[in-house]
Amino acid sequence: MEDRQILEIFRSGDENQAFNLLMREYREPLYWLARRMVCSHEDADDIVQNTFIKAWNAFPEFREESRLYTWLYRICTNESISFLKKKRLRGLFSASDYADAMSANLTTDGYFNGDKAQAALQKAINHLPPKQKNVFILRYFNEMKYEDISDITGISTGSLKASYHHAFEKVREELSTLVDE
Amino acid sequence: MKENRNILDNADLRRNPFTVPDGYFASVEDRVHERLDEMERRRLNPSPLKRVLEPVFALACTFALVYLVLIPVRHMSQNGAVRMTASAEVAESDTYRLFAEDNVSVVNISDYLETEDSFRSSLDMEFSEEEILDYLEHNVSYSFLASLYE
Repeated sequence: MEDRQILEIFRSGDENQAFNLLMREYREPLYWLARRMVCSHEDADDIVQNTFIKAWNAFPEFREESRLYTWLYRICTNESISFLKKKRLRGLFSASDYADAMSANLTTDGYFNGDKAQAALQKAINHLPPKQKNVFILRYFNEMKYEDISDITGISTGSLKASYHHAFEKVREELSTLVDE
Repeated sequence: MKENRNILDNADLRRNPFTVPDGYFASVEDRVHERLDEMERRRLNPSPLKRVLEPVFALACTFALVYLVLIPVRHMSQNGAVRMTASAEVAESDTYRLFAEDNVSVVNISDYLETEDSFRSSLDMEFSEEEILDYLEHNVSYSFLASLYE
């Protein structure tokens, strides 16, 4: 279903129906974005639920200047980045690094069936700063256009290209080290 | 470097390695609605404890705010009073210093006051004609008295 149709249903007064359609349309892509960002299923689930709750509360004020797609991705991105920042802050007061903890949980997680190279890639991505990680995931895995990433993040396409380049190089270097080990 | 770049160009790396529990996506809607209902219930019917604690907490916050505002004000006013007292003390000490520098002792001052008093009392005294003539005879020359007469 297209965004336009969901918004028409919402404007007709059937807000619950519109919201259910919105969730059905976006629950999977938003979940996978969150899951790539935080690795854990439980944390990704929390982020997706928070995203929809925030969307529901802000739905009446939604301006059609932006697309539902970019609006929801923006909320989910912000939720994921906030989550990672909190984790990182807590990591400052603990002995273990939050990125390493995420990577360690990845291999013991029952909901991960990737191979060694995929685990190494996710480990390398986990070492990126949250915002750079988000740019890398949207570009590398979702193959999103820079213009769309710019709409979601509010960062100029020029800066995004530079950010992606840096992230790509960091991941490539770390991945090559991990594969060589 | 080219080889390393090929690592990331490998399409298999882009494949999704994560999975979810069975029926997870179908349950998302229900769980979001449950949370929204719960939030609405809490908003409409806050728990009795919350109802009691909320005004108490608000009152405590108000007192804390007033206290926080008053502390600096009080501190500032106290500082002002101390400054005024201190300046008065300085003024007194300045006066004392001036006396000390001019070698004016308490004895001198009392002497001065005594002299002043004796001068005033002398003004109030009444002299007899004989006493005046006697004073003039011994203290003023005749030529000076003659010049006054002319």
